Amino acid sequence: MERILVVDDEPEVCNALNEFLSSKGYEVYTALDGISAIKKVKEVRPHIVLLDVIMPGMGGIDTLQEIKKIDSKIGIIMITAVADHELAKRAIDIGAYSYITKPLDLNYIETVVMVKILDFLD
Amino acid sequence: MENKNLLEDSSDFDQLKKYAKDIAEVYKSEKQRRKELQAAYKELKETRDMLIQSEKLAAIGRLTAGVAHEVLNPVNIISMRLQLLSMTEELSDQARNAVTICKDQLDRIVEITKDLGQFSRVYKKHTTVSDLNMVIGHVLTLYAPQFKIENIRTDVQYHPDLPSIQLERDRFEQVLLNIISNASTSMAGQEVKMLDIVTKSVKSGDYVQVIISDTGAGINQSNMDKIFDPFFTTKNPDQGTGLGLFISYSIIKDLGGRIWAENREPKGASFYIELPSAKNIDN
Repeated sequence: MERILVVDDEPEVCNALNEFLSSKGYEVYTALDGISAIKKVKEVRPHIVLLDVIMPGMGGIDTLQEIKKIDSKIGIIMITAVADHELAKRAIDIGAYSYITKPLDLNYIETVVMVKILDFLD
Repeated sequence: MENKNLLEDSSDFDQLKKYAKDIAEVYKSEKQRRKELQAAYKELKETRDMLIQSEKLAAIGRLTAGVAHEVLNPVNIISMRLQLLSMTEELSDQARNAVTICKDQLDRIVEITKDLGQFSRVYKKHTTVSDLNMVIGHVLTLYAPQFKIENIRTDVQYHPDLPSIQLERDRFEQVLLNIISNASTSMAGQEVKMLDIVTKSVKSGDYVQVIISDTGAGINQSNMDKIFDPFFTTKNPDQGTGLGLFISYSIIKDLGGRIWAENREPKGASFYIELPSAKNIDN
């Protein structure tokens, strides 16, 4: 079963994504901040990380860099409330797979996740 | 002392005429100086008012962008919960209908927050050298069917040798559309509906100006310093959010220009947009 880690400082975002992605058959883990996310990545080696850009403490971009150091193959999808194209470009340059903005369209998330999972299967 | 009749002495009369001429010239030059001082004072006052307006809107912009960002987080959670709810098969038609209504209303909130976010967002500018006359022509073509429906006549006076300007065309067109849309609303119910557009080269070609005037109700003088504030509107709630001019102000400021409004005689309002010409930016 493919593993997905959801990282967002809003517990309700983690809960909703957990509920949705679990219903689609994924094994879902959650973390509320960057430090816990890095710990979880080392522990469960997810295929995909859904990562909030703006978080207190270690922000999404720093967390992205750290996760990439652990495993560059992990597909990281950045999530933010702001459609900031400069930030998106920076995240993609660092190695993020994709970038989506809030409010999240669950069907779109499923599609992006599926496309990345197919990459792993190839 | 001899009482001499000045008028009988031609040299004294000439002298008197010279004095009168000198006095007239001094008076004329003083009048001119006074006029110049008044103009300088007016310009200074306008600059001061614009600076106050600019500071005020910048502060509001920072505040609203922050609020918009914070609002989007709970909106995102509500939106996801509604999506999950609508995926539930056993939902009654009534409940499904309610979910759809809630989703539509959330979309409205998202649109407003996106608009608010635009104000203080730092855009990476994708400007191109553009011909302002052509841009206006394009917008008027877009609006032509609407003008016909609403019985609005247009009179456009393009400056023939207008200097080109650096524009983000899409965003600038949005400004024109906002102003024209407001003009159109303001003219609803008026007997004469006339939209005048004039383009000008000003300040020795360093700037170009577009003046959009309507024959609508005009702007109440007490509202003049509020028209660019977010959510300020005199329209009915279903006719707009009050963000159009707020966003327009931000776009024009972003392009290094300025925008202001004045009432026109005998009725209606004029919006002035002044932008630096491309050559001015290059220098």
